[in-house]
Amino acid sequence: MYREIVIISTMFFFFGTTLVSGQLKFSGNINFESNANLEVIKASSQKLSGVLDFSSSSFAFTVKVSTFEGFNSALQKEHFHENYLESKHYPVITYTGKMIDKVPTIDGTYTIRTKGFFDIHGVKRERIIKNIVTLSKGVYTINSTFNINLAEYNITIPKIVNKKIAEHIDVVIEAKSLNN
Amino acid sequence: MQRLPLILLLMFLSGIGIYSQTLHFQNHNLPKTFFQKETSTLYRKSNDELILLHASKIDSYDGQHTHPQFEHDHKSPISAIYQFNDTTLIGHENGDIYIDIKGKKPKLWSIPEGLPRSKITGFIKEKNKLYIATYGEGLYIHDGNHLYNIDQSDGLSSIDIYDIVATNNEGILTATDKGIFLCNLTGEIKKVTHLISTETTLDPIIINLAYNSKGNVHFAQSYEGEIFKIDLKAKELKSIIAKDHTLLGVTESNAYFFDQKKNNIIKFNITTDNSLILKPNGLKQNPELINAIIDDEERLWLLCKNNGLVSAFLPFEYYESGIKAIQKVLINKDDILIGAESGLYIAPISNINAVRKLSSSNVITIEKIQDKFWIGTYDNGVEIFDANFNKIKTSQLNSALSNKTVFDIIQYDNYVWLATLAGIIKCYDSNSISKIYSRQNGLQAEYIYTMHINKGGELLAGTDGQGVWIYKRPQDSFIQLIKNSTIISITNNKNELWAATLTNGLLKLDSNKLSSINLPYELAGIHTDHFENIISIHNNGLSIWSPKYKSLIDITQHLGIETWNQSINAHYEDLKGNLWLPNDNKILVYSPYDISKSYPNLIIRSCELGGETIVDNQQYSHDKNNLLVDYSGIWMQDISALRYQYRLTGQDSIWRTTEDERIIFSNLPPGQYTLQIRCMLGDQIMHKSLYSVSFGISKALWQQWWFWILVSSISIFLGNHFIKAKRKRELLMESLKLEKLKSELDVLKSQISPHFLFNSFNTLISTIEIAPSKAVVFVEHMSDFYRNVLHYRNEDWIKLETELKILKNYIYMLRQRFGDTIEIKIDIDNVEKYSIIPLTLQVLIENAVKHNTATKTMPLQINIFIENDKLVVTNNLNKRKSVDDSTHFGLSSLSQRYSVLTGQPLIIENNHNQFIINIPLKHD
Repeated sequence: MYREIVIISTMFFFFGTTLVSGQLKFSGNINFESNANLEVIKASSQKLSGVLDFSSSSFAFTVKVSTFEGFNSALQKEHFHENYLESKHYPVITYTGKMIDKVPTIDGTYTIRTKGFFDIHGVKRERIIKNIVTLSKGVYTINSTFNINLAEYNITIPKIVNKKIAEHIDVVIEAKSLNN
Repeated sequence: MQRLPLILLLMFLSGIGIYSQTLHFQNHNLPKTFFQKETSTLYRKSNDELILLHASKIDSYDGQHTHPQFEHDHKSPISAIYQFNDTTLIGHENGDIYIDIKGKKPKLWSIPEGLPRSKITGFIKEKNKLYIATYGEGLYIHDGNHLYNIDQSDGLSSIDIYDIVATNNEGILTATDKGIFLCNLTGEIKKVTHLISTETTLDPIIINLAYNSKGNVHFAQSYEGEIFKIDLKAKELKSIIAKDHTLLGVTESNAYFFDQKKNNIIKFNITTDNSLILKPNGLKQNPELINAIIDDEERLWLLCKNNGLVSAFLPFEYYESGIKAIQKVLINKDDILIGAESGLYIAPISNINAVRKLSSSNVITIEKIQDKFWIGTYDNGVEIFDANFNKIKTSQLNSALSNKTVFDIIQYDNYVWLATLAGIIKCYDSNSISKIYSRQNGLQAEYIYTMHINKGGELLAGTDGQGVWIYKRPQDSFIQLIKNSTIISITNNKNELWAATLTNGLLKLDSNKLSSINLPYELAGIHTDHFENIISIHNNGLSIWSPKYKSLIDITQHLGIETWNQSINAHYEDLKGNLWLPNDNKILVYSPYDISKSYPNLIIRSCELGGETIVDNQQYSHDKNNLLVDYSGIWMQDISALRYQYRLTGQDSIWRTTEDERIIFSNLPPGQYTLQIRCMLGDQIMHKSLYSVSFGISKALWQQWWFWILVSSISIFLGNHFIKAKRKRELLMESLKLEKLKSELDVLKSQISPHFLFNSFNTLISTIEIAPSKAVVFVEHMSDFYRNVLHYRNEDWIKLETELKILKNYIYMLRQRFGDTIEIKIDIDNVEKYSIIPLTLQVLIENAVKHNTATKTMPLQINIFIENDKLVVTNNLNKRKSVDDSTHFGLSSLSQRYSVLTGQPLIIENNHNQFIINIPLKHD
């Protein structure tokens, strides 16, 4: 909780000066899917929020780990929080960075690549992500599909369940800009 | 000395300047499409080839032929190409990257992170990382899993990259709008260092980078044409040339720049920082350079809009000197001494045309011995010059020489030794002779061509026909080391002694074992370079033998001098290890390069079709249909790793891989063929080694289509003719038979016609009454006649003699009937010589009797005689009123038979009082 407050407040601290000149808030959902040999596990959170700064082409997205719902059982959810993501120690997932391509201003659908740092499970890694951005009547919709290699983020799967949890988690993000 | 003002005047007029060293460019005669398009560029492949990009096509070029590699329709032009192993990366101006893996269809590279959107300006693949330079998005790095980006946020001040090159473990050098940055990615940690300039006048836009094959020396070029040397340790740039130059490339020892204003090539020594101006020979005034590459074999390739693709072999330069027939040169500090047939000259190396003549002797050799220059001449003995090139008096020494031709001069044991055409002369100094070694004291050779001191400090002498002799100090005499050869030059290679013979190649003496290497040239010298290769100097240029790899390569072609008179007269090694090779009108300078870096090549030992050496594009007869090719690969590195591939287009188009060094195709059917052979290294094709020959085998005569048409038409014609002729003959025979039958019938008819019989019987009856004995004779004649008629009627021919005999019977019967009213006169000689158709005369007389009346007052006179080889039957005319028709038929059928059997008909003349018939006779 403390960490979340720090991140959000730093975000606002950074972007605060340019707030007037063009900052856009986003909210949306994030879906995890583990497609292992024996089991498909799905989890999602509707509490994805973010902010995009036009002048610096930079952005920050965050979601609280505790808001993930779904799973095939309550035990799975418990494992997700306690064993894998350790949400008590690392309560939020963030992706902060900048846009490689220019943010469109004309209605249409665009592919926008972002270059930023994923912070999951306390591990920060640079990732370039390809996003589908649709601008329609002043509303930006972002759709992204990518995957996360668990091993890269120090999330180790016990051998006994490694046929039930995939090495790569497929992530689907949908976010919409909010009218101020 | 007369020539000097002229040369100076020429120099002034042509504006050559103070340099005279020349780099020789060969034109590769590429089609204009390869270099005139806006997008034409030259890239370097990882092996021996160049890649030529023109429009949307990519071809590789092996030095002789272009090979299409890739072509695709893409909305955006290709902006970068990179090849490693079997993969080609093709970058476009819109950021698209295609991957072309050999054997697969080129496809758009697909990574989850997406491709750049900016122009791709370069690739480097190093240690499993792929570096992608863009103009607009900085540097991308793909580590096999993820894509990473380096831009301003990582310290790369400019994201507009023009060029990238690799370094040895220091990272990637990127040339940008804001100078040069060294970029590094270890794990996920990025490190970007800006290289600073020691000069304040740094032009920040760096557009071109180059480095040597070791990867330890890097150069950069700015937009304005300023050239920098990069110091990676100090992270500094050092400006070398202020502006207007293009960076061409870097070899292991030199960097090469192009002076855009003066059209010169600058050779910059990377260890001494000295530069030399080279005059490019074969390059147009304003070549409009597109780009340049130096390959591993130290060949500089230039792609120019105005000049196409040209290349120059960098270890080789030459001086054009106005002096002809140069026999030897010697470098003394900044001067060059030139010994030629016309005399001895000296000139500063930097201006070789500013010669000063020192002597007019016909010079063979020049040696520097303790600050003095000893000149060996052809007919003037020796001449000696001091350090200031003043002539020292040598009359005493020369007068002691029994022969004035001095081939070699050497210092040994504090004496100067002269190799002459009358043995070896040992001198104390310029004035006195110590000893003469000749036949008188054991040296069994008069003509001494060369002397040499070997690794063991022993003096050797090469002789004409008597091999190599070695000097033995204790005995103070020479003994024979190698027999029976004419030795031109001697060198040492490790512990082996190598000698060049005049025409029998090289000899090697290794611990008393003598072996030889054949060279088909007239040798002028032999030398060991610092790579321990044996360089042979000969009338066809240079050949290099590598004792390590047991390989011989003829680098004349590399030198690009095969179009000159490439005969080299001698060699001289300067202090830097460069070989100075005087030609008849040029002085070549060759800095030995590491030939082990050369790429595999192919030597065709023989290529025969039916025992005849194949000439390219020639047609051979059908019986020359056995193809036999013997070849071998040469490669300085590992000859055993070489494989070969061959293909006989015309038979099939499959490349076959083999280890054999022989190809045999037997009983090739007629057709057009192209045989191609090339070297393979693993799976890699060595395009440069490609050998190709085209030939045709003609069809045999009976295999030609027109032959059969001709034969069949002739046979149809002939067959037709024969059939027709046969049918005609058959028809004739038929008609003949018919005629014969008819005439026989007529004869029979007439003979046995009731009228004739009745007449005969009437005659018989009257005779029986009057003279019964006479009747018996009549019946005998009658039966004789009928027997003969029956006997001969089937014959074609009858002897005239026989015919006349039969006729006698008939005449007798006629006489009995008509008495004296018929007079028959027969006047024929040589009756046995002729034949006629049987019963001809009987028919004709019968005919005459039938048509004419005969009375005592007007008797029927029949004459039978031979005239002009013809039997003539005449009778006088006394025509009856009514005549039996049948005999007309008898006469015409007889005539028909004659014309068939003899080709001549009966000739019938009918005068008003004579009836004449001419009968053709057959001669027996």
